[in-house]
Amino acid sequence: MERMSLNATPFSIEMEELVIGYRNAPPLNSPFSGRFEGAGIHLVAGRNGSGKSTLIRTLAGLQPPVSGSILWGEDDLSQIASNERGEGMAFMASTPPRTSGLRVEEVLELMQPSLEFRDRTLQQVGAQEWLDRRLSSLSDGQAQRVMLARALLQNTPWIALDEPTAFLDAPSRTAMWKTLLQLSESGVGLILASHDFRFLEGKTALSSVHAIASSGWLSLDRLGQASDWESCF
Amino acid sequence: MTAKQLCMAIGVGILIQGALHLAWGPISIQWMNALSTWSNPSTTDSLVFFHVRLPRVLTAMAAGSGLALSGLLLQTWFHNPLAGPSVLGISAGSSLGVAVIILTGLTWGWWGVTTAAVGGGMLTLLLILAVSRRFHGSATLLIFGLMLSYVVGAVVTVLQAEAAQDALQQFVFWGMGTFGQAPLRISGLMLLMVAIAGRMIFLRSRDLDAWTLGSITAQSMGVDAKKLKYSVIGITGVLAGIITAVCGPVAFLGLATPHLVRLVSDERSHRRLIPLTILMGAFIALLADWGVRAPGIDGGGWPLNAVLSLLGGPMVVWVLLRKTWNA
Repeated sequence: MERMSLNATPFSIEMEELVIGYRNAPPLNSPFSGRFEGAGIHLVAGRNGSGKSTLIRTLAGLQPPVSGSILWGEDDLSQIASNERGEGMAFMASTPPRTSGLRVEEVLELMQPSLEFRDRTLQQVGAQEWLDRRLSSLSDGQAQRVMLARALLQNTPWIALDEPTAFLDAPSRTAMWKTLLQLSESGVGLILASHDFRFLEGKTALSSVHAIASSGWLSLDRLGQASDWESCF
Repeated sequence: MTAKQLCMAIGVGILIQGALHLAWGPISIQWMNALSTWSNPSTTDSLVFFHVRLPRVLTAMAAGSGLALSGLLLQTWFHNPLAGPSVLGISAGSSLGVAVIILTGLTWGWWGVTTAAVGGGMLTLLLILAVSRRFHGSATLLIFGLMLSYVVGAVVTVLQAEAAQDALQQFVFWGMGTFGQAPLRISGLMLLMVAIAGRMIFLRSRDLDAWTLGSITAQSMGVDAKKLKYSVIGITGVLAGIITAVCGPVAFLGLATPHLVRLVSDERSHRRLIPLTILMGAFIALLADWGVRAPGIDGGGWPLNAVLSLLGGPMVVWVLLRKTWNA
């Protein structure tokens, strides 16, 4: 695959007859197809256990699909080498790492950013104070902001986020959503699974809304109301 | 103290201990006499130096470094502070390989025993890797390793019951652990292998650091999980297997040494942890060997594993009692 150019506009992501799940377990859905295109926030909603997190990991190439395929632009995701995959899409997990003893500075250094890029990103997520702190000494909310900064420093056209606010208290949640909205205006594409999506209602940065419902993959009205989305699954 | 200064300090500690180990013993030797005939050791001085003391020092250093490095890699890979070649049953797997060779009376020599030990250790590690994705929580991994050790122990006991007297005796002595059995060329070879393994995994420091952020996050950063896994399995299996074949199933060194490093140093990046752990392993092994050699000056001496368990047992309890192991 061609080296994806960093900062490029997000390539399209296409799901073809996709079935997700784990080996030795019943699949999570019947085959569905769909598409994510362009910058901004792409929300995936659904009930507990519907497979949102699994879908996010599968779309990011971190877990193989049970069947079907995913295209990143023109390329089959399963054929993309791991280092190239890391240039296409960054990922932020729902829980911050709790056992890493690395200092924040060392975590960010893993992405080998320029100092200027690093400091700008830290400011963006509001984590500039903690460079010398150990990741394990930060609260969940603080650590998640650091992990978001890390994902941003990966400098990819796409970032996948699995329940980015799940373990955060109310002020941290608001702060996280604000940061994500700002980000989406900088031309990056964000695919996120979340229960906590009311904050996105009516926001122009919201590019698409989807749900994994018992009936299958639903694409919902992005300008609609959160309560209407909710009634669909 | 910076990591570099700490490395230097431990290095000096290793040199001093090494020199003392070489100089001290039940037979006093003249160094100049010993060294002047290095190409053809024939005098008592040179025989003691080249056939007894030097190999012992080199073996201790290689075993300590190799097991400590294995422990560090396993702790990082499994995100588990209590992982190590002995607790996970890898040493037990190697022991089974050795037991099959020695107790069934096969005389396959050093290479046969070593191959069996590496094979046994590697198989155990693969078994653990195959089931570990189903484990939740760090205690499960530990209990699995413990159960594995029991099962392997039972098989070894059956083999022992069937074994000939002299084979049995050989196996029991081997099981107590010692740094004092390897000839010079083997000890040198072990040290070389540890150096190569250390260098290989040092080049993957970034991947290992990323791995501490979680296996999924690391993979999203472009880390090739399979490659990293095979590096960890390969290095751990080969090092632990060879060391077990030569020194017996050595307890606690692999588990406890990385924690000692974390205790004396603030460094948590693998670029620093790997050299520190390798040096600390050699230092601790030489230190423990005093407990084996010193009481044994008029024969006897404490078995290596007794000394190491006295040091390592409390260490594990201390790790368990700490709230965060990596802070």
